[in-house]
Amino acid sequence: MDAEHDPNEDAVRELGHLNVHWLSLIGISLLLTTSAQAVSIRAYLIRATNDSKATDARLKDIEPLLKIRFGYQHYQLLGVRQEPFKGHNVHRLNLGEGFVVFVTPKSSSQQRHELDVEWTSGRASLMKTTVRIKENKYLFVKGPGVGDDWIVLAVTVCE
Amino acid sequence: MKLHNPELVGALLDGELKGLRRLRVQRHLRRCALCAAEYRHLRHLSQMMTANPPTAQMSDSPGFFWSKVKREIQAREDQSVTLPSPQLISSDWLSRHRYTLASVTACLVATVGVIWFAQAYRTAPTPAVVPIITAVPAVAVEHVSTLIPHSTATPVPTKDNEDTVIWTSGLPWTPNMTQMKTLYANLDT
Repeated sequence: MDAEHDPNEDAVRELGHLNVHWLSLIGISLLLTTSAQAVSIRAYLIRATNDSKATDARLKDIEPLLKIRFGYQHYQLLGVRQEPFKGHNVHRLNLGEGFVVFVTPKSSSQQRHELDVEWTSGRASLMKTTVRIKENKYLFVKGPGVGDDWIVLAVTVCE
Repeated sequence: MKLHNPELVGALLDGELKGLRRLRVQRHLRRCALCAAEYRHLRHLSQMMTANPPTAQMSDSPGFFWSKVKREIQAREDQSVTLPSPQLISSDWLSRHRYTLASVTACLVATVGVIWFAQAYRTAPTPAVVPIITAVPAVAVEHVSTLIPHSTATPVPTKDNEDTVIWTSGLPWTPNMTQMKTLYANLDT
């Protein structure tokens, strides 16, 4: 009989006790991590045009909405950026062509998010707004005209 | 007055004629000697009756007469007496029961009014209570502004409340993307 072995020790119970603690910690960490990364902010820079060559398959989900709202037949994706929510930090989404969108989450409840959105180009602030947006819904901003086309910004909070 | 009428002459003497009728009878008396004689005769009789009033002659003294009346009342006290009921004509009946009739008529009118109102209320179409459901827009713009001079930004909610468009107007237009990039890079707000 091993001298160091305690015959009264409940090895199964101790082991189970440890397992429960670790599993709980891991589960909570995973839950927090996944919940924190579950929601992200996405912005599209779009060129609304009647040029049939300017199409992009990545816009197929919102193209019907764009056609209804803006009336153009074709939509070209100039840039898209997506970032996970980071609390109340400012999200800087560089969409290319000199356009940058700053998104600052203010509050969130029941899949609705209050955001400060500022659309800039170079040093110019084109538009600044505060919106309450539901997840997977879109805020569209009709921007400057370029030739016969329009520049359009689309902002959404997606899972 | 064409015909001689002794009743009118007597009525004039008794002061029963008034107004135009009295004047006509008086004029006739001035012209008709026969009627004037009748008038004077009746006036004479009247004056005589006034000057010599008839005196009541009682066989018994008043006390004794009253005692006889009391005895007669006591004797007939047990007898049943049938009082004559007056025969009323319709106008008398209506006059007597005018308040009752007015009350009954008012009750009837009120009852008919209540029934009519109840029927009208029952048949009137009940306005449907439509719950006003204020749909919360999926994207609600609380504030929007632009710093570009001579430009505006206006939120345009969509009918289906599924998204929102912020419509900026007055932003500088450029013929191509390169010029736009240059223009906005140098535009300081």
